[in-house]
Amino acid sequence: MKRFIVVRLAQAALTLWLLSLAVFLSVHLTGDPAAYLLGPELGSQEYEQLKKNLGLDRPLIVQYGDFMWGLTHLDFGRSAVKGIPARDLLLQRLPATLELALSAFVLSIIVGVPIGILSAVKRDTIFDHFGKLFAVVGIAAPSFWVAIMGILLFGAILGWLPTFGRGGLDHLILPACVLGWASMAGMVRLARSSMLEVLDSEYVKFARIKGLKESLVIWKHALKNAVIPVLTFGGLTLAGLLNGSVAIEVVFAWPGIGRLMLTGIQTRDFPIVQATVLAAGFFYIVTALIVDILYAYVNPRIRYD
Amino acid sequence: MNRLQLKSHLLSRLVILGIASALLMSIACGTATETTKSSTSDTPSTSSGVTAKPTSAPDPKSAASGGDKVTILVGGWGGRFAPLYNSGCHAFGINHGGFLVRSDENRQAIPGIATDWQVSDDGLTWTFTIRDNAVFHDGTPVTADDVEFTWLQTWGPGALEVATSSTAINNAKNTAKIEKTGRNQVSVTHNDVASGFPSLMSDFTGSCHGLVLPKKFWDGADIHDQDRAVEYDQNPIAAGPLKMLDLIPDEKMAFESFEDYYDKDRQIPIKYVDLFKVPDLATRAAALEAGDADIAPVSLDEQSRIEKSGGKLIWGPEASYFRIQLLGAWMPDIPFSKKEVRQAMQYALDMDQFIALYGEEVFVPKGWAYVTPASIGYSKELDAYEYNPEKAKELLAQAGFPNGEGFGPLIINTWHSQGVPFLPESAELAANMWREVLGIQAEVRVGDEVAIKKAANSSDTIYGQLIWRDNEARVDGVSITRSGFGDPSNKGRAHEDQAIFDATVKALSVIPPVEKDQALRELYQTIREEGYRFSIGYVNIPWGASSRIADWKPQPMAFYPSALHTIRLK
Repeated sequence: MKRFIVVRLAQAALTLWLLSLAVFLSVHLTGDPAAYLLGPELGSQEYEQLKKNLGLDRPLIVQYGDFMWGLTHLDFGRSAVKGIPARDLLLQRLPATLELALSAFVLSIIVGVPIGILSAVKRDTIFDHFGKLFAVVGIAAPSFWVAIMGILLFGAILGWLPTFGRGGLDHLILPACVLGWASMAGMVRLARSSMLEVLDSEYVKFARIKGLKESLVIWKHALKNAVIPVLTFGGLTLAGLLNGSVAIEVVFAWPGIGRLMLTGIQTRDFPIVQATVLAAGFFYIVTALIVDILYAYVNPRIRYD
Repeated sequence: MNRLQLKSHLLSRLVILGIASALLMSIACGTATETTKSSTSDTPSTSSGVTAKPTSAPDPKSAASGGDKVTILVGGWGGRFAPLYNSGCHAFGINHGGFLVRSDENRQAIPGIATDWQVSDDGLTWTFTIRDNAVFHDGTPVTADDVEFTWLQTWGPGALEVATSSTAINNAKNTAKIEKTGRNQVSVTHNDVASGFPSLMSDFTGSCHGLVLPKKFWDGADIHDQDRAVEYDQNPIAAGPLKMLDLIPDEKMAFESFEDYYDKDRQIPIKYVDLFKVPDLATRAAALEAGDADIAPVSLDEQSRIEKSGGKLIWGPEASYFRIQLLGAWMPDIPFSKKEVRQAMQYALDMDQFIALYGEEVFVPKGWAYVTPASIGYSKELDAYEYNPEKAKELLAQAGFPNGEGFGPLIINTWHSQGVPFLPESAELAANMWREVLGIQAEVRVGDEVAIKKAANSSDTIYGQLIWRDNEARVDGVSITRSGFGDPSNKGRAHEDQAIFDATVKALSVIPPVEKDQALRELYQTIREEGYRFSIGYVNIPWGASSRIADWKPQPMAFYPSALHTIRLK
């Protein structure tokens, strides 16, 4: 296992480096913050001066070298538009993203998994049909549309919840539910199919023949094996949520990392884009690693040696 | 490993994971409201200094329900306060900053922190007289020292190399000297005549170059110290009618009406104003409907819903205009290097179709580019060409492209804009008209604004193409005219006609207001006639107002919340 972890960490470092190179090149080749900052009454001379002031007139290889050197002490540079170090901006937004992502994740587990299990256990009943419908709508409906509908219904028409912004628990409910719904839908489908497979297996049949109570069969024997794929899915879901959902954050005016990344891309604010994309890559890699480790402990048949 | 050991392993790792999750949740929830304003023991303050109290972001439901608070939503803001760095401070700076020159309800210049401004006989030196009764939000008086400091920071020695405001760069290049010339007077001497300088010092340009910074804030630091500038962005002490109470970056600004504001007639009657950044249009409309907000930019589509909830639409006149740029129009092998082609393209545009697209309350086919009815130099002769397809065809044929033969493909670059709705749709409408009337193979490409601007300003790769864009309307078009028509070195220039360069330089050097208006009027008519840049008109911006708002009169040419002193609550 130790060797496995070391190898994965080395792979992670290589992946992050390739990611940083890809982001650097793609963002630099499609524009620059000077073009964004340039007022309409100004022309090429001011543009060239702006580029110089932002250090963008240097050769790309020099700019990349600077960036990589800064990375060694987690310095992504200063935001061209805001003047604040990109790392500080990222850390400012991180709590909002964590709050929303973890809430959505917890909701997706505590709602999605039980519905999926119930759907499998009560197969072809009304519970099953509800579960399937819940999953299909959650996967098919675009999250930004669900968000807007939620705001209209619960905010504007019923007046139960705030329509935008971050604040207390009431601010969190709607965005977390909307963000978590797609993940819940995935959890429902996965838990259902996994549970169905397990319920059909020989050892479960044997447990029933032995005369064990049905609740014991399901919650003690079947669930443990059924939850393994859910674990993997859950890890990747969490990584995705941690990267911030741009659509949800824009619609709800939630000040998270997703919106920060979008603004950075729109203004070609390279330090912001690089910081947010690398953070996203980092979240994915770390979460995938944790999932793999947990997987080995949950399923003793898995060995990484 | 046996089953018991495995269980123990798993349990211990789950415990670790649980503790880690709890820690993460506590970080997230414990910092539910991040404020960057901190008690600044190391920044200058007085007994009434602005200090930050970490507050929880107020529930938007209660924000708009109190009688002494107004909640305003905007789509976005730049976030920097010092003119050297800001790329547009409209949403907040206009009401928070203290400007040397201000504008009345008709966008006429009136005294601000400066009571008076004079120009020398050679037109190169402007002298501003600073009033005695203006104070900053921390109670300290605004003096000529502060004005001198602000100008030195923004255009003085060293500014050119650190500015991230393109307006600051432009002015720094033209600034020869800045000095305090009296107890309450400050002068700036330019290298070339800057007839638009008072406009630049006013609150009717979005660059906020006219606001005054507190010199004391930079005591102990270099005038261009970046960290100190960032600190100022987090605790901006200004001299405008609104004093900042709380700032959550990219989320919210909370203000209080400044009771010591020098202009009692323009003091904001509402005690508190909250400004939120809400990018999504549908969310802003829903917030108005729900009572979570009082004022927000919306679209006509939301009108019925807003009215059903007891609110209304209030129009911000002449907020943005259309600007059509013909790139590389001086290159002889490009079709629109010929005047007949440029004019033909304008005669082929039917304004009724644009009115049908936008609605007559929104779109008005008046003015030429940035010269709208409230601008200096406007005249009716600048309005959009009358639709005349026969004349359009005739002119195109005269230019050697009968029915568009030999014209080649015409690429129209545009983007989705916050300022003008349906910008790509209007470009497509124009492309259709050019296809049908002139036989030109016009193709609209909706792209990224930054990438298109970069291509237009830095290379000739898109010469022969057209940019269909918008811009915020402006009172004084001096600087934009100089850039497009008076600067032969500008890659984004409109032409290479020496006669127009000379006429532009001459007109832009006229300073006395009446003569300036006349000179610009003639120049704009000439430029319009040539057709290197043209326009179809301007748009009024619909503001949604909740049922609490009895009245509000936004100024013309303001796509941001303006004239807040005219807000009246029911």
